[in-house]
Formats: sequence, C-alpha cells, structure tokens
Amino acid sequence: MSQAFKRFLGDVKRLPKIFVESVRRRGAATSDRGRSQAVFSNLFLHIHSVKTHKNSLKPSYTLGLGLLTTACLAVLTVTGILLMVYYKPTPELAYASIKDIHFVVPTGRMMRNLHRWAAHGMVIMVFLHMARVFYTASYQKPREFNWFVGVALLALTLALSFTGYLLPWDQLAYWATTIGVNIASSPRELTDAVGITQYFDPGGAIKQLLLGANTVGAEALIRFHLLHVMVLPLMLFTLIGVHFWRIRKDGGLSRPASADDVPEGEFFARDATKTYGLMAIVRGRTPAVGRSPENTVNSWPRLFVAEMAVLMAAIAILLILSLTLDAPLKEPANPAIPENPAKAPWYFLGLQELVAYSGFMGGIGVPMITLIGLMLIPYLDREQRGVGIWFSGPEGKRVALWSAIYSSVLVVGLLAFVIKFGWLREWYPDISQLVIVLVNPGSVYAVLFAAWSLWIMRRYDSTRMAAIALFTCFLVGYIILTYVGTVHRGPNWDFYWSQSHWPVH
Amino acid sequence: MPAKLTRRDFSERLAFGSFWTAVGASVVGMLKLLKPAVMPEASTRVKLGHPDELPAGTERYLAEQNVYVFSAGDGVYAISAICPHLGCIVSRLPEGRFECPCHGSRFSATGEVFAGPAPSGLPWIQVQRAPNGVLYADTSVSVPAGTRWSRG
Amino acid sequence: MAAARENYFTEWRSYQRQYRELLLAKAETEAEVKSARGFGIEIRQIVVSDLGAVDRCVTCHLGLDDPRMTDAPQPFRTHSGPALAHHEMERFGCTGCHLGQGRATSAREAHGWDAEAFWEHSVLPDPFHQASCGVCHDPEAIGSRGAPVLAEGFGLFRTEGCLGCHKLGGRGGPLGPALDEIGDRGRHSYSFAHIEGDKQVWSWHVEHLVSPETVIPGSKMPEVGLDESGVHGLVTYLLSLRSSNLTERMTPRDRYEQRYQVWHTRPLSGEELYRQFCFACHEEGTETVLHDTLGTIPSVRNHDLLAVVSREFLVESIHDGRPTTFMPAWASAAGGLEDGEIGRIADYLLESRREIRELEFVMSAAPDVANGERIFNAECTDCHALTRDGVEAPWLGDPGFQATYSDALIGHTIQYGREDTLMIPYGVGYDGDLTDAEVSDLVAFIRTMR
Repeated sequence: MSQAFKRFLGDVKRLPKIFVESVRRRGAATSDRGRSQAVFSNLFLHIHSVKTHKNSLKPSYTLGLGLLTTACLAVLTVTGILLMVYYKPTPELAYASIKDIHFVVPTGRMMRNLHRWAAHGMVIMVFLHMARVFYTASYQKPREFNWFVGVALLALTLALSFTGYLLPWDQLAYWATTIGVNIASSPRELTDAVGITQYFDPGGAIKQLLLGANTVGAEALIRFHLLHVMVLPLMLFTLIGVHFWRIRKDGGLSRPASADDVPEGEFFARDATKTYGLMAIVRGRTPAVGRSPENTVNSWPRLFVAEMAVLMAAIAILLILSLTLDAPLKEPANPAIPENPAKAPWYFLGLQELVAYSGFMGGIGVPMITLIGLMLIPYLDREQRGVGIWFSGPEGKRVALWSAIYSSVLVVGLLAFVIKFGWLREWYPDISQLVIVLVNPGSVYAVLFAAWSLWIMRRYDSTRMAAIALFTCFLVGYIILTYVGTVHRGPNWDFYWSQSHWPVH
Repeated sequence: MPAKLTRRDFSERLAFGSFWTAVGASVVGMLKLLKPAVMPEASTRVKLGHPDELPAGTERYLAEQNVYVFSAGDGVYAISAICPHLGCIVSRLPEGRFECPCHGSRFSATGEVFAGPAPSGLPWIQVQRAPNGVLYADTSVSVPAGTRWSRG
Repeated sequence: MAAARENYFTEWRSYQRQYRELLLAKAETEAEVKSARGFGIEIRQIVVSDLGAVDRCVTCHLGLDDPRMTDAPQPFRTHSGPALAHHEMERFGCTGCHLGQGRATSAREAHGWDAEAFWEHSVLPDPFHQASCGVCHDPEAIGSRGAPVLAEGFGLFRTEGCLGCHKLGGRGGPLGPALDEIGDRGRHSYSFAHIEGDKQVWSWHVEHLVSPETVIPGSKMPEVGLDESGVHGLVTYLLSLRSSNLTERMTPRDRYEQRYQVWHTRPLSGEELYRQFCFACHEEGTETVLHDTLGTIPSVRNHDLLAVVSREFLVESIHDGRPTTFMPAWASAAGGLEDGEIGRIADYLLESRREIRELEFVMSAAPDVANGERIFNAECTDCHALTRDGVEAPWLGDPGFQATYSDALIGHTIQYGREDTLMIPYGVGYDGDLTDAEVSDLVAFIRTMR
C-alpha cells in the first residue's frame, strides 16, 4: 500500500473532524483571544465587535427592543418564504390558496398565524425601539445618520405590512387596500382644489404605479406581491445592514458619559510605541474609544447568550399567540360591495381617523410631516445633552409627562368635539375644499403640538426638551387616535362605545 | 474661480458624468415600464339604450360600472357611485340621497357633498348619443355636475 | 404543540378513527375486514376542475356511497335519495349542489351555519337544497323527480306576478331589483338588521317574502300572502337562480328541452302573461287596488273602462306604461314583452268587456282653461293632485295618460264616472252638475297639466 493511499484512508476516517475544523478554524474559546476569534473569524458573528460595553448589556437600557424587532423579522422571513410555497398571487387563486394553507397544508395554519403575529410584533417593536432610542437621546451625534436610517426602516416596515394586507384577497384586504391606495393618490385632492390636476397629477401617477390599473385587481395583486416578497424586503435588508454596520462604526450603542469612566489608577495604558493598526488612523470616533477593558466584556459568550435568550423568548411568545389566535380571513373580495367598516391594520387606524376629515392632510400631509420631522430631529437638536440617560434626566421626565398630558387632553378634547358637532363641512356645506385640507383635526393637532414644543424650547432654553415635548405629543396622539380608530369606530365610521353596539349587518 | 481644470480632472468628470447620466436614463426607462399603456379594466363605455327606452322618471343602477343613471323630463344623466374621498361605493338611501359607508360622506340626490370628508361631489359621468341613436355612458369621462344629454 | 394539535386532535381525525371502528364492526367477509384495516387516516377530497370545486367534505362524510351505512350516525350516513346514482361524486363534487365551504376541514367552517363564520354560502338545509336542482335542471320537469318544493315555487313565480316588478332574463318590470343570479348573492350582500331567525340567506328571503317592509324599511314590495309551503317554494326557486359553469357534457337533457322551449316558445296565453307580469300589482284587475306605497292601482279589467276604450288604447298603455307612476313600459326594449304578447294581454283584458259604447262627448269650440282650473281646484283636488307627488288618484299630467286619453275619453270619464271605482260621475244628468261646457273647460285645463 502506498503512503498516499494510507494518508487518504486516514483522511477519510477523519473527514467529519477535518470538515468541522475547516469551518471553525479554531479551537474551543477558552482564552480571551479564543473568544475574540470566535467573533471575528465568523462571518455571522462578526457583525458584533469582539468586546461589548457593559452598559449595552443592561436590560433596563435597551430593553432588547432592537433585537426583538430583528427576531420578529427573522420569523417573518422564514414563515414568509414557507407561505410563498403555497400562495398563488392571482385573484382567482389567492383566496383559495390561503384557505388551503389554513385547512390542509401541514403546519400551514401555524405558519400563517406566526407570520401575522410576527408582523404585528415587529411594528410594535419598531415603534418601541424608536421611542427608546429617542428618549435616551441616542440619535445625537455621531448617530444622526443611523437614526435617519432607522426612520426609513420604520417606513419600510409599515409599507411591508400594508402590501401584505392585500394578499389574502378577502373583503377586508380589498377595501383596506382600496382606501390605502386612494390615500396615496390623495395629493389629487389638493391639485383638484387648486385646479391643476390636468397638468400636474402626482396622486394619479402614484395610484397607477401601485395598481397598474384604476382599481384594485389582478395587476394590483401581483404588484403588491412583488413589493411584499421582493422589492421591500431587499430594501429592508440592505438598510438593516447599514443600520447594524453603523451601530459599530458609530461606537456601539449609545451610553451615558459616566459609563465610560474608568476607576482611578486603572487606565488602559496606551503605549506610545505600539502600533494600533487601522483603527488608530481612521478619523473621528473609532470603535475602540471608551472601551477600556474595565468597561467591556468579551462578546463571546456573554452577549450571545443574552441575545439568544431574547430571541427564544420572542419566538415562544409568538408561538403561544399563534396557537391560540387565528389570523382572520373574511369572505372573498367583492368589488361591488364595500366592507363596512373597512378598517386597515390597527397601526394605520390612527391615520384612518385623520383621513375621515381630509384624505390628503390625514393620509399624506400629517404622516409626511411626521416622518420628515422624525428624520430631521438629530439635525435640529444638536445639543449633546443627557445622551444615554432616559429622558436626559429628571427635567426631561417632567417635560415628557406634561407633554403627554397636554397631548391627551388636546387629542381627546378635539376628537370629542368633532364627533359631537362635526367639522367645517357640516356647518358650511359650500366651504372650499382647500380650507378643509388646510384646517382639519390632523393639521390642528400638528400646529398645536409644534406650538407647545416651541413654548417648551423657550421655557427651558433647550432644543432637546423641545424635541422631547414634540415627540411625546405625537406619540401620545398617535396612540390615542389608533385606540379610537380601533375600538370606537364602527359602520360608516360612526362612533360607538364598543363593538357590541354596532348595528347588526 | 476654482483651481485650474486639468485634463485628467476633466476626463474624470466626464466619465462620472456620463456614467450617472446613463444610470439616470436607464432608471427613467425602467420606470416607464411600470406605467401601463392601456388599462386592464373592462370597457368604460356602457350602453344605456335608446332614449325611448328611458322614459322620464327611470332610474337605473349599473352595478358593474358603479353608475346611477337617471332619466328626467329634460334629459338623461349619470352619476358615479364611487366616493371621491377614498373610493368606496356609496349607497342610495330611499329618499334619494347618497351615503358612503367608509367615512360617512353624504351627498344630495344630484351628488353634491353636504357632509363628511369627501373633497368634492360625486362625479357626473358623460352621457352621449351615438350616431345610431343609442345613449352611451363613459365612466372614464367625468363632466361638470348638471351636464346631461338633453332630449329634443 | 402545533404538531400535536394538527396530527392527533383534529376533528376529522377523530371522525375517521370512529369510522374505521364502524367499518370493522360492519365487516362481514374477510375482504371487508381487510379493506377496513387498510382504511387510512388522511384528508380526502374531490377535485372537480370543471366546477372549480375542491371538496373535502368526504374527509368526514365517509359513508356517502356505502350502502351499509344507511343506519350509521352522521357524518357517516349513506347519501339519501337517488341523487348520487345520477351524479357521481367524482364528477359533481359536493358543494356544487349543497354549497358550503368545500376547502374547510372542520364542520363549523365547512357548513357555515354559524353566523360568525365568514361564509358566502352556507350549506343549504332541507328543503332549500332543492334549489340546486334548478341550477342545471328545468325546475318544472324536476318536480316529479325529487324537487317538488322547487317546482311548486316555480309555479308560484309564474302566477304571482313577480315579473311585474323584477326582471329575469331581460323580461320584467324595473321597479324592484333584477332577479338574475340572485342565488349567487352570499350572506354579506344582505342586511340582517331586521331578521329574527337565523342570519342566513334563506331565512332572509323567507322573512322578506312574508313581510317585505319589516326586512327592508321603506320597501314598496307588496306582501306575497302565501302559506309557509308556498313561501318555502318561492324561496327555493329564487335560490335556484344561480349562475353555473356547467359544461356542455354535464348538461342534463331536460335543460336542453327547456332551452328549446325558450327558443321555440309555446306562446303564453294572455291570461298566463297577465299572471306573470301584471298580477302582483293589479291583482285580479276587477277592483281598484289601494296600496300603501304603490298608490292607487287602476282596475284594468273594469267593464266600464273596457266599454269605452279600444284595443289600441290598451296596447299603447301597456307598451309605453305610465312613466310617472309605478306602471313601467313593457315594450320589448324595456319590460321585454313582444308586441304579440302585449296584444294577447290586451285581448285577455277585453274578455271582461260586456258592451261597447260610443263616446258621445264633444269638446266645445272655445274652452276656458282658467275656468277649468277653478273647477279642478274645487272638485277634483280631493283625489287628483296638481303635481305628480299625489298618490290618491292617478296624476293626470302623466305623459302616458296624456298620450293615450283622447279629449273625448277624458270628458266622457268626467261625465259618466267609472262604475265600481272611486271616480264618480260629474256630468249634468249623471248625478253631477257640470255642464258640457264646463267639462270642456276642465278637459282643456287637464291638457295643460305636465
């Protein structure tokens, strides 16, 4: 037997071991060096830095919200791909294929429920994550751009959920989408009022782009399907890549300045003769700043254990929800009879409430102002005040509390007034639409919130306090409007104390 | 005046400029694909019948096109049942008014909005007489309220 | 957990296990025992691509074609009646006849009898399931072959005058909604706000026929006034008006015969036409009908009317209707009646004529319209309104009235009145006190009404 053949036989015997070694390229992570290698020699783990700041591991700081969002997204991706195996995006087959997924596809019902609940979960988590980042002032320099990316991710998340809403092709889907697309085309309301629609019609263009037709039909279904499973996820994942990458490039998660304090006499000695490699010559803040060994721990395994715990908790909650509560499916879409009430997913019902006064201002104007305002916050509030501290300290807490009270009173009060007495058209039937577009509950809220914020800015002489005031007002307003739209609106968008009071339909 | 433009700078700018122009042109071309040249919907023109078949007082609802057709003493007119607010189908109340189920817009018997969020009244639809004497409505053509095909 | 629920605790699995026990208990021969042992627990379905049906009913209804199961408990019992002999399950499926949700695999969602389950079509209960026979078969011919309720309903449909207000296949009045494919309308197309019984399509129709105005406030539809079996029959017929994607090779012979009859129709007699198109409003036609919402409906078989009008008058009145009243035009382009049919209806009405009287009234040379208006306001406005909104008596400005009534006929009617109606005589010498000249003034004024 030749030597080569012997070696070959030995290699065949050790094949599994060699293969695993070729994948891991290292031994067990027993030393700090090994733990570091565990992270940076692994494509999937090296998204994290080797060392993690202790502050970032405090559950009370991040609440794990970003991670929970990611967990929901992971569940959505997996279940979404599985659902695509059976889903057929044509009007004739879409509804029946959902029925099949529900009734006969093995675990299909579970997957659909999971997809539904994870979608709800992701929207909630995105909102909470945003609130956390805002209230800890984490958007401030150098993280302005990552906040900007985050707002774009919020918009993408909502767009994904909206496009997914049509796919079951039932009555609710059909009419909620019809309303949604008409909201998107509501700039026409403004151009009509000014009388320039025939020359300049952005509303009509958006509508045609989304629907590929004048009404929701086969063309719209395939376009929404394409957006939902391809275009928007690609954009989402790209931006998430940027989002994660920027977390590291911006120096890890934000933290209070005090968290970087190093106990006296234990300085991380920088050797003047030592070469610090690439990191040292990169301009600006580098990942290494403020990361003396005393403040950090090895990411492997501490961070990963924590992350896995959060992931498993999220999945467990989603599983329990999916086992107990089925995703709804109404009768098949019928373009001749509107669903009454035609409610969009709950997180859009706040907007739907505003839309019930002016389609353009409620559906385009206020949301656009909100989104642009959100994106601009870090560029307009450039104070470095209380970064990494909830509400930037006790003063901010007070401002937030008073803003919440102000906003609740204002929103509930005006809403009650409108429900009781109607709005401009009810009093002056001949009023110009332009006036209604400009003066309606949505714009009134926006103006009064802005006024309050400016007042806070003067009172406390701080843009950070003004930002807290404005953000709190919008957040509380959104929550209240969403609640009213979800619980108290019935057929004809009339006010009802509860669903049991709806007229029998 | 900025620093002197060298030949290399110029050719670099030219390269980038032409690249982005090409990208821009391609994007415009691709966006064009998304806008349908013809709408996939069924024909928007619908036959109403000979005027004699529509004696004064006739009211019809064309469920497929969502159009109400009325024949009065002086002519025939058609009103769309699609709410100009957000596209729901309005229903007709026994007293002749229209009401939208989605956000409660209310319209008079001739389509003028008098309550609710609708930005304008219900659109009136063109009614025309073809050379063969038959009346047609075209749901893609809206006309000012009050426009009707008149008898005589 | 999900796997456990799906694999062991589903409703249909427990049914199939029960059925296997049942099969074993009933097995007599070796072969039967063997086949019972081989009974697999799995989702069963019938796919009929012609009908677009995917019916998983047979996942639980396991003994439909097994004659041993006639005494088995549901859902295992043999299909009753002879229907399956002519309609193999593999070719026709289940939902084509029974409706319901074929794709579902739980009884609640498959049957849709629960008002909360979102279903277009719930499984039709007895006797309304006979409606499905009428989708393919001639409802009259199938009466003696298993669908008597449907046949009864079809008969009533043709004698109760439903077509007077409702169109079917292009024939009928415009007052009510057309009935074509009304059986296709699912539960969500109806408002159940005023329905006391089940929130189901059939109970909606039953209660609606018994009292239309209770179910649809403001409805002008007269009560049908039938007993329960009649109402059930009519509802069954209405529910049979479904569209079908029936292929030619699935079409039964009686349907061909019925189509043949439609194309080579035996002319309907004047009386049959009257019953189909006129009866709902005019009833027997011998007395004025005072209807709550439709107003005063003239007695078209009144002998005093028929004595003075011509056949042309009747034909023209039916042909063009009375546009401002609920009497529609019946010309082929409107109500869908052929000229010959309108003529036969006129002939049928004229059967009630007892005599022919010449009109003796002659208009005076220069009638005074102003005087006529004064008389009209004094004598006539108790019943005849000045505008079309009055309902007490026919509005005289109606274009149909103006076109068909000659001056002489109007004058004659004012002078003589009309026997057996509320129109009393007004002429001097006929219990009234209007002179010929005054009647002429009145006629002249009536001519100005529009």
